[in-house]
Amino acid sequence: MLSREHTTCMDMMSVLERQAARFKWLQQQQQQLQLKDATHLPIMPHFQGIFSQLETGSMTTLPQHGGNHHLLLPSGFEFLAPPDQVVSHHPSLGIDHCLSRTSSCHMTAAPASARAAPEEGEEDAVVVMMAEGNGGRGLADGSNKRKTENEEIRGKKRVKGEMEVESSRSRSEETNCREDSTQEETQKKKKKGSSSGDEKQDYIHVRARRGQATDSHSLAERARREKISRKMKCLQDLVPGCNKITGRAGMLDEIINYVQSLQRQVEFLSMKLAAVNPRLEFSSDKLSGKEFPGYPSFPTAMSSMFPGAASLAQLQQLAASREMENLTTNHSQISSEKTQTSSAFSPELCLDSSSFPQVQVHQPFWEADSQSFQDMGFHRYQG
Amino acid sequence: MSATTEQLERNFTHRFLTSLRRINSPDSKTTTTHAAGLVIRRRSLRIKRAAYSSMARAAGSHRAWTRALLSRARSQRRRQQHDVHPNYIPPAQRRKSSVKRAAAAGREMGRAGKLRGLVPGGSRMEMGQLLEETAHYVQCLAVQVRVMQAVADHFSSSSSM
Repeated sequence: MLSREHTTCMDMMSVLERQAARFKWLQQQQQQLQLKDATHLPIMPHFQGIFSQLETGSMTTLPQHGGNHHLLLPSGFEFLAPPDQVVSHHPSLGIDHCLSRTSSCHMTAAPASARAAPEEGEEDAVVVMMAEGNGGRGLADGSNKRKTENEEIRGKKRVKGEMEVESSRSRSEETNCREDSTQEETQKKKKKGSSSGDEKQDYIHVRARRGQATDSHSLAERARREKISRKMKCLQDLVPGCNKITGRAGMLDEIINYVQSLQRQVEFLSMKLAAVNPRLEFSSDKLSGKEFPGYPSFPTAMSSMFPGAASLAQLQQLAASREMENLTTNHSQISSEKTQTSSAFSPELCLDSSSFPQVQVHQPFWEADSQSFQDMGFHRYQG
Repeated sequence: MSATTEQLERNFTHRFLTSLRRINSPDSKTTTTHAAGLVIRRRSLRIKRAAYSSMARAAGSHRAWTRALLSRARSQRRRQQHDVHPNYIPPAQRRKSSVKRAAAAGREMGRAGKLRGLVPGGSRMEMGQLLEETAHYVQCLAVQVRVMQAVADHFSSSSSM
């Protein structure tokens, strides 16, 4: 039985003790919640990490929060009232309110709160027991205590008015939390719909920071930026000479230059092939390429046919930076082994072209290959 | 990584040499009467297109840039088959492409816009996808350049003998 004298004689020391007790209880509750999390939500084991992070974060902020709460309500009796009263008015909402205080809006999923509802009685009993233990009370049945307390509370109009304010405030807080939880749930569903592991990791990685905006737009923007930076790193490995450059703009410039130079090289090489191929075609008309002694060699032929090509080649050589030179040396190194592969392809090409009439004309050309690469087993295709 | 590059290289070499042979086939023998420069220019254009499309075929259709490149090549071929001038664009397509270009220009005019112009089909991608496609495209272009260089060296050296 609570009476007026006991509640009014409570000083600040007892209030502080209650804070400590409440803090301890909250810790217990969180451990319980964590266990519940582990058992009931095995789908999202990675949320444990966040939860523990948030737990440490919220634990540091929690006593201050509780202190504010108690300072708002100076008398000990009114301190006893709020959690109890909230529970009596809205059982499920009350536990949600506690949860929102402890876990900072994380574990506010609706099924979790519904599952938490059966346990609320004993948790609330824990609260009452601790508070009464501090007040020097004997232990009695929690539900009876609550009933009697509620009766006494209803007897006092002023206190009840204050509690109405308190409960409405808690309810508004709780609705805020609900909104947050629905938002987070939709995000979760979205991420699950895409259903890829690294996206989940993305989500966690993005979300785990503290002091950053948590609305969906900025989260998405952050994820996008991280994706872009990852792709940039990939490109940095691919584009030569990009390792030294820091900053996205310079890297983009380098990538653009590289792509442009490669495309120019393709153009140049196609011109070269086009200039080389007529000779092959002419050699198909006549007997062999040796019938054209007056035919100029390739660069002079290019320059005589269209001066733009020669200027292109010069421009390419001039504009080629250092890594381009490296590339071309690589190409010259590679070209020796590449001729092997291309001549390794020539047999099947000849096999394909056996129906063509010009295979006889092309034969001396491939025969020159077979002389240089006799280890390819090329002769059997020709016979 | 190296295995896939090698496979890509082999695939591209095969396709490119096949298309080179087709280009060299004597159905275009009437070109001997034309001016040599024009012939070579047209031939180089054909070779370039063949190189790009064979690269796109070798890389597979799961990339956006290969799809864009092949669809562009297809539309060009259709235009050539219908005996229209290759630079002619039908009015409906022209309007659409101008709208697209305006949208692309409105989005970004800086370096990313330039990169969009370089990578085939890049005007319709968002930034992350653009970078991903650019990475793949750069890889394929490097392979293409290497193979074409080797083929050109091979041809020129063997024909000069």
